[in-house]
Amino acid sequence: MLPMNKYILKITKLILILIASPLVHGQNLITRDEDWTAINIAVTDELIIPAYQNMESKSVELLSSAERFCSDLSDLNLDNLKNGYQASMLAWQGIQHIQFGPITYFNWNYRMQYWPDERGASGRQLDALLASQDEAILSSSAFPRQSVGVQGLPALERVLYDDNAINEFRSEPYLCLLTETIASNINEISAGVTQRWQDEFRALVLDPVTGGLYEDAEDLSIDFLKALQEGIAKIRDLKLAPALGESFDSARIRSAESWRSESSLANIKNNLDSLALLFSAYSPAFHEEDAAVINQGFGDIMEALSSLPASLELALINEMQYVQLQALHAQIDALHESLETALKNTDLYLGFNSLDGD
Amino acid sequence: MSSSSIQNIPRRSFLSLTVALALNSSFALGKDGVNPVFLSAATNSDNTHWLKAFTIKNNQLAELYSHQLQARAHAVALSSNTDFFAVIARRPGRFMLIGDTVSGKILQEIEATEGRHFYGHGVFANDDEFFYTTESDYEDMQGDSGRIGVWKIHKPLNGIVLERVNEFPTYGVGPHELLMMPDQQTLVVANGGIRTHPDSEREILNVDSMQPSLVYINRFTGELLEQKRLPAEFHQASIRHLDINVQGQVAMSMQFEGEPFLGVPLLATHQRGEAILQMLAPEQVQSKLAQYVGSIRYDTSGHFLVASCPRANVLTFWDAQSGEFLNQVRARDACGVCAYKDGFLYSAGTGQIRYYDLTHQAITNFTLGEDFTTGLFWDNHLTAV
Repeated sequence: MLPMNKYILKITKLILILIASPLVHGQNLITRDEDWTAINIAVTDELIIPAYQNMESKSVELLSSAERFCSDLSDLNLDNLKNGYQASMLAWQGIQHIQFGPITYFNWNYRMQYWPDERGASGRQLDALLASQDEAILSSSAFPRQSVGVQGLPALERVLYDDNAINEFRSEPYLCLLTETIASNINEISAGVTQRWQDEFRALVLDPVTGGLYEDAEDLSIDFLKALQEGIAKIRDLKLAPALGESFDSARIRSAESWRSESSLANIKNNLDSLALLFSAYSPAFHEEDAAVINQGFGDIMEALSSLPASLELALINEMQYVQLQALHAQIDALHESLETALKNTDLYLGFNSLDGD
Repeated sequence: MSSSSIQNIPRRSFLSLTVALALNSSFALGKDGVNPVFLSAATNSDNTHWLKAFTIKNNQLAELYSHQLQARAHAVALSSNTDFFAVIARRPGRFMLIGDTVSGKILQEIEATEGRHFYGHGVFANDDEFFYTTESDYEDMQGDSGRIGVWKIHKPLNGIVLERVNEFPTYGVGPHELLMMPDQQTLVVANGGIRTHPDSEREILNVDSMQPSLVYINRFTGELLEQKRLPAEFHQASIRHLDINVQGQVAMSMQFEGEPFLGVPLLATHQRGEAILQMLAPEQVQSKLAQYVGSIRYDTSGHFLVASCPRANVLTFWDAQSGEFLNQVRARDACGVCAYKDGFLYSAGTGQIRYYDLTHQAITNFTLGEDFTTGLFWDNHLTAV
């Protein structure tokens, strides 16, 4: 759980300052750079850096469980490794929506999770790698340069959740070398992103203009707000819609994220937890009534999710739960629309040319 | 005025930049020889669409005229003497307006020929006898459906009227920007390679098989004079926008439809009869560009290029002769660019219009005149009279 007390205090203080001034619709509620920076740095210190630190610490555990399993290929150690994978994936889901800053360096974002993989590139490339038995490729200098399809969490999931995984590992020593390499690479990426946020990007959040990386503090806030809006859209358009299909009979679990480990809905829950906190941090930028609608939307979605299993696969084969999933999809769509309306009621625009260019 | 720091400009490039600009003092001055006129499509926050003309007077932006459009437009083309403009619908739109640049008066409203739609770009011939548009024969779902619409220009008193008289193939699919080469005989066309159909809006129907190309076409006969492609591995790099300098060097910008993490050139130059020269920024810049360039323009010297990258919220600057990346400037949602003074004017979806001075590497924010419309999202392209 993230340390929220200090964070909530900071944000509440800011809300009180902002409520004091009379405001009308269609105007920015936050106009001073220092007010944007107060939120940006609170978000950085209380949400972003802790989430990356969480990822890093989970990746350390993941690596040790991979090493333990490879030194003793037991069912118990495989289960522990799977738990380590799940914990790492859930930690990533808590910060997946941040697609700017250090995570974009060295293709770290795609190397952490290449998904959706619509053409099945990951499977083909992993098969080719296993067939090659090339140990040189698995060195810490060579592996990061390999295709993103063989790196990161989806590649690890594919290897660990094979129906016959334990026997495959026992008969194929290269699989263990590959598993340890993927886990070690996840750890390096997690540590790298965390360090860059702490050592470099945090300073930039405090002073976004020097260095020319941002036009002003609001410009940086828009990156965070865009992460919020795109994060919601991603759940709606990529994580739910393709799996739901047109009807109960045409549902396609294999279009879902993390379907092999049956944690698709657990991922979504973690996404929404983080997105709700991010929204709450920026709520002073929105009119009170709009913020209330959005908070209600997050609350309703969480409640809906709590009555569904973590496995989307189970929900998709139950007609009643399929209807619940359709309702969940509609709720997420409504949440996205509420955020769009709330943005329009201020003068904050997330993009025009950048969203729909030609 | 605010300035933005620039990283790692190669010294040689910077020196040549200063010399080139010192030799070249011409820039957009407008019809009265004093105040420049700029034209751009724009959308308002109430989702109405406009053609807007504005000028810069004493560092202040002032609106000259505006026309509400039936839908979103894309680019504005100017006649050779800049008396007239054509504002063209964004794909798959079918409208085009012809107007008087000075008064803003609309002279003609044109609908695309049946079975064709526009791509937002057109070009006047130097003699102002003909006007050309890129179009799609969209019911042809298999062949090279790109078309150049040929429009004869009639000149009644105080105006012009366009008449559709012919069309040529573009020898490709999904043509986008087209321009006239300095010889005034040859059209250069960016075949984006992307097949769409108005029934499925802007959905790409051929992402795996797209074959973009740069083509040179005799504007009188429609004959294909030269066709260039990027290497096969970049067949998903849709060639979209072009500019030409006085030496006839063609600069092109691309939008890559393949994997987001691949290192793919988004800019290139070409000289007739030679190979395409790809341009790549250093890895840490290139990987941030989101595989997308919006507009590309030479500066007034023809030596330097700006490429707007709205998905990365940056403008990138390049030495067109060496192909070297020079620098980048943060510019949220900026896409429209045109040569202006010693650098470029640029417009953004945030409503900002700014000037970037290449020699001083400084950004100028203009103040807004009293009646300057605010709350506008400036669309992809900016044209200077």
